[in-house]
Amino acid sequence: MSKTAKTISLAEQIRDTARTKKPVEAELKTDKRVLARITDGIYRQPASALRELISNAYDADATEVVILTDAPRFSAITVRDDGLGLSLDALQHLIEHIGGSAKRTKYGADLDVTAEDDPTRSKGGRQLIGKLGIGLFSVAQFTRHFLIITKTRGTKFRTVADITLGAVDEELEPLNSDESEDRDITKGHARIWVERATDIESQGTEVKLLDPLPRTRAELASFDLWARIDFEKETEGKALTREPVFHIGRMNRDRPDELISKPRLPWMEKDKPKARFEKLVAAVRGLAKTEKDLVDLDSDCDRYLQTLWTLALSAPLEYLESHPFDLAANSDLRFYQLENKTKGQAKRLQPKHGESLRKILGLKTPCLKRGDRFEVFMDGVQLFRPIVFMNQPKTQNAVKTPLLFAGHCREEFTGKPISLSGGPLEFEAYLLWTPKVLPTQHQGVMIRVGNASGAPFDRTFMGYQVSEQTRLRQITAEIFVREGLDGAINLDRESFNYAHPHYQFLVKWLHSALRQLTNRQKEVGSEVRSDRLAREGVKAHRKLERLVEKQLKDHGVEDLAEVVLLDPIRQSEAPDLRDQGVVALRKRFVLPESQAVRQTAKEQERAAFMERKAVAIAQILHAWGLLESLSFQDQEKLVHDILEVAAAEVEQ
Amino acid sequence: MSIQSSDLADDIVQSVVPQHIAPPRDDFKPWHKVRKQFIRERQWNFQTAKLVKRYLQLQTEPTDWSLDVEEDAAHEPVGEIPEAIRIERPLNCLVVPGDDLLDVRSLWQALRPNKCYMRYLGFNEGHGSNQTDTRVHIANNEVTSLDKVMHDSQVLHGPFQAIASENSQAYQYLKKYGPFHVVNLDICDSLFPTTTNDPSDYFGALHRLAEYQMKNQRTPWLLFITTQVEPGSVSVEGLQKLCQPTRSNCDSHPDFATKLGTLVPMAAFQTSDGVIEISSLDEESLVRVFGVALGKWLMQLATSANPHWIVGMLPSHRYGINTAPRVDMLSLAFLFRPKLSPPVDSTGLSNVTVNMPTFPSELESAMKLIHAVEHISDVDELLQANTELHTQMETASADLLEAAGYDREKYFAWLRSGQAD
Repeated sequence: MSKTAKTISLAEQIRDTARTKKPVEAELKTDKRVLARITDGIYRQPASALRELISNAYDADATEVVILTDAPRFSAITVRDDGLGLSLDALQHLIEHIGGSAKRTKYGADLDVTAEDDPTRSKGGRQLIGKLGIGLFSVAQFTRHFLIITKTRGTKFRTVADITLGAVDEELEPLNSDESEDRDITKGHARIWVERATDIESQGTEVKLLDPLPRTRAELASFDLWARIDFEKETEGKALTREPVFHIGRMNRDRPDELISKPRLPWMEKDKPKARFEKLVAAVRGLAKTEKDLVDLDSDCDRYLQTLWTLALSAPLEYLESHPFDLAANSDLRFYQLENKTKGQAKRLQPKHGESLRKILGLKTPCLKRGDRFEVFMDGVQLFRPIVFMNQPKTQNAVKTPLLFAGHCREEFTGKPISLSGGPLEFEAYLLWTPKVLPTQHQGVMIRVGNASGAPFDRTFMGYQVSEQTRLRQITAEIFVREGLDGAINLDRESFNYAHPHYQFLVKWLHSALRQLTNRQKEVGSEVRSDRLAREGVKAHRKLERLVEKQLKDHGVEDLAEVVLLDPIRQSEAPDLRDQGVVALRKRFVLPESQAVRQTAKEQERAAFMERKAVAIAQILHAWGLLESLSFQDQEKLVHDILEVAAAEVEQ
Repeated sequence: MSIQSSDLADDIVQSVVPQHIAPPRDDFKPWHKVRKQFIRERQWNFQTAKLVKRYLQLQTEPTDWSLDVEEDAAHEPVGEIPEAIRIERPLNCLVVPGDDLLDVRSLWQALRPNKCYMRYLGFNEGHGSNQTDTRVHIANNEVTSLDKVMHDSQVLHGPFQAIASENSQAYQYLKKYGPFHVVNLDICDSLFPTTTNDPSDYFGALHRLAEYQMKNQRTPWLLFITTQVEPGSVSVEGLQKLCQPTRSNCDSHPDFATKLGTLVPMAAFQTSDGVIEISSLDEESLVRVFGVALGKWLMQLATSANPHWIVGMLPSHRYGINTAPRVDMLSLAFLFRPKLSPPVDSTGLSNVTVNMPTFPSELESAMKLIHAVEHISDVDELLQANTELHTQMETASADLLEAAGYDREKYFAWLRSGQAD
């Protein structure tokens, strides 16, 4: 090969730009397999791109990620970290294999992006989140132009890659064509150069999304939500959809510098980043006192705040208050240890005062290793895992003390070929039963691999078939996978390959854990119930009540809600009663108007029976989970309407 | 059959094709000249460092804001301030930076001895994906990577003037990042009313800024305004409005009128029909009229607010950007101080003694303003007369540009070529 024909690597060409001052022009390359999946549109929400960039920062041993948007306009989005930065070789790899990461491969150590002796760990020893490294490619779903500005410590330059993405009408060859399988194809253009830097000791990577796509901006700015409210006002004369309780303000679509509605946020401008997030969580949970039983982020917060919350749930962050394993025993919480058996029985733990689950069970999962730090700030709000375990709301159920079940499991798959089993699987987990899960988005199970999760809480509990409607809505669970399962994560990191043995194992384990929880919770329930019956005596054994109890038992519900109908004079007690966990309904909005002219004894007896019926209906509706999502007013209206129909008589 | 028009595509496809941004370049601009470095160092940085030392780096909140502008060296910090406190008290800056953020870089350099943290909010119009030559993204990355620059500092896309409207995105961000200790409005346009330019947007924005600051800021703050004064195309009507507070002052305070008369021909303010006689002013006088008028305009904002604020003009500068006809660039500096006084028990029942700060009266402030305007110095002359100073500024300017990615040698070549003149 002649000297002139010798190929100079992209990395070398970029390095040379320091001298030539002429940027390198390069086409982005990827393989079809990755591209096909990604152009299927696997990422639908902007939160996905942000989540992937946060994961990249974590994998690069960053201690801080700052996300800045000019919300609610969203003309640009910046994600900046103080991680190790990309070397020229790593950047070259990225440009030439966009969508195919070097992490967790033998190239990882060569490119200086993973630990030398362990491709599954970062250089700083963190368990890597990114597997396929398509994080940057996810950005491509939300903009056609982005910058990567990166610097490694000890260097006198920073590297700038300015990436524009190709036209959308590029002809793609048929994806199943064998001959094209290995061929690289291009999808965008990069202009790369290095800039002299005087801040030799600084390091980090910034990804800047310039001009996000219209739909990205529309999504983050909740345009659809506001448009629906406008439409309703126009066609119905009033908005049927409630405005979100908390939002970042509303932009004028035609003049995006102008706000139509000012932001309504739970924090003040002067609040510190952590205080802002604390206030958001407290305010969202607090809606259960004033608005309705259950809080639903989808209707109570705009898309931006939902995005903030989603990121807080998925990123490898500290818990807002405490890791569940670090909770100390106190009167507000009962601890149980889960057994790793199909027909296991959870064991009640009796810890000494102040002793934590971690200590009793020897659990190891922390959010971060001791001495390690990873903080994420989005527009001045510091994110934490918004799951809180103390001061749980009281609810209508008889059993009010939250129950915390925890377990640890390691499966070696001994005797099974590793090629079939995928190697060992180890995890720790907890299931928290609490009368009311706030917000409803926390109902279900979340599986964290490498401390992060791409998927939201799975409300089906990995397809749990037993009819436990009420109880399942009262459980928040997290499984912290310490080893294994990453082979089962799909490309988008938002779902799993259900057929993978590790996933299958987790399904069995979780379903057993749910049964153990159910049994213990029922036991506690019947303790409480027999106490109550003993107190109330036989008068409670009325026919109607027995009927309700029997019917609900068939539905798997054993403790009935306490329902109080308030006379007008006692109506002001409603908020307090609700806070104590009572279904408090205002009598005059629930009972149909009496047609009787005189208050005869018979009429009074009839009215008393109607009240009992109202209570029974409310208890059944509550047990079916039909009341909690309604506003308190709507609860009254619903009971009223059913009662009226039930009480209607055949017209003579 | 005619085809219906549709708006369905509006939100699907962008109308702007993304353009690559620019790699380092070596074309130098007027704000790369040596005299601009003088303004940065001797006015902006010097006054800011003084503010930091005097008001921000104190162990306890000072109770007395009444220090005279010229007075110095009081209120020295007591010992070293712990890091945890310094990071909680960053210097908040509102800036209108150029693409390279040179002014912010330069200020950062100046504040290093004070170990002061800084946070900035910038407004820059050349910002979007269709801006081929913008380097603001890279510059912002560089500056926020510097030690002691708060990481949430950012430059927003859009004009600063947008803050005039309370419903603007810009104003929301002003509230988010404020209140500010330093506001540096190095604007490309002109605050000076001319027939080709209506500065009412700027004055609206200044009014809104003052309203916000006076309501929310508790410590003194600095306002730097850089603007052209173009005598050639002055708008009589615009200047008329701006001079209104000055004329009222002349009417109510003969001393002020007399003193002003030593600076500009009094005819300028004393025409019978209340119209300023522009034609009676030479270029030098017009610059002075503008300086006094803008100062008085700010003073009337400050004194009409409650609680009151006091405005003083700090040493300010000018330089020529055009010779025929001469166009001056004015770099004005103002210090705003809250007029806070403690409660006084006039009955004598309380034997608590309180320190009563003394504040200048309206007249005193106005007289000081005239004094400050009189001493506006010509930077071109200064640098020409002082070779040592010139060399010092030249080197500093080269350092700054080099840090921003420019070629040092080419910069010197540019200076020597005479293109910089």
